[in-house]
Amino acid sequence: MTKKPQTPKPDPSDESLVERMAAEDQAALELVMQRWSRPIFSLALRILRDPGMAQEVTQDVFLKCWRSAATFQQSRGSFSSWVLTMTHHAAIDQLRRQKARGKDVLQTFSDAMAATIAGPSHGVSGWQRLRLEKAMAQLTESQRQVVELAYFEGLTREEMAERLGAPVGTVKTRLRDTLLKLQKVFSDPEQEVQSLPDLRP
Amino acid sequence: MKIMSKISKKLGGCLEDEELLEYSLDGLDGKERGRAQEHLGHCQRCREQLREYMSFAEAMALSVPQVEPPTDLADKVLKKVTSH
Repeated sequence: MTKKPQTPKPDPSDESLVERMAAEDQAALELVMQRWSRPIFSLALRILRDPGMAQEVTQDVFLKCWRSAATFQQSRGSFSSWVLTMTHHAAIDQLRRQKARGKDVLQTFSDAMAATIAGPSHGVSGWQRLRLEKAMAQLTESQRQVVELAYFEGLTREEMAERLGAPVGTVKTRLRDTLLKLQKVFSDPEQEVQSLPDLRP
Repeated sequence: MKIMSKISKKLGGCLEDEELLEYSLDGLDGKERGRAQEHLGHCQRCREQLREYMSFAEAMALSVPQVEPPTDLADKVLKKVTSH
């Protein structure tokens, strides 16, 4: 009798790994870290511009994932959304704490990059990244600026108004209009079919 | 149709698209965020809309240049996990 060729097991989903983490399976945590260390560290570094602080945030995010795995609800969103939101939140909090202590957080992003090793793109982001780049390309300079200040610098609307020398109401409207425009281009299926190479996995 | 949907959302006390979008990007201030979270706790319609926006938020987060993390990162996490 000949043996049937064994088909390789598919990689476990992020969500199944969270279930295993909830049952205190450390091997699942290791797999999650293999998969997510780079995108989480990269996002934290982009916001904090300091490799040491970005590492601290990344470690804290994984510890939080481990400790709160049992509370993760897939019905509320995917693991990737959960973990990236957690990272953004933690990095912005850290940035605000540094600013409150009067620390210099103006190290340039290229300096921060030079202190680390650039890695390949995160596997799942290629297709989404292109759609977002296309959407970003349609923004004006001032629209790009509000996205940068709000998302990557975590400024409040009041802080943005002060930085830009504009009334708070104007900043709020500009930000919301910009985000809606970005989201609309990003989610428009026509855009992707007509003008983007097919990079979906 | 879009106007009807807006009116129906208003009557149900639902969140505006802009608010949901900002929420997905972690951009609402404390008070606004609290209100949004409270509403999302019981409104299926807003939760569904939020899920759609989350893929955009995810793309924003993944759009940054990818950088290799320090090699000892995983070991440090595992050490903390086992010491508790």
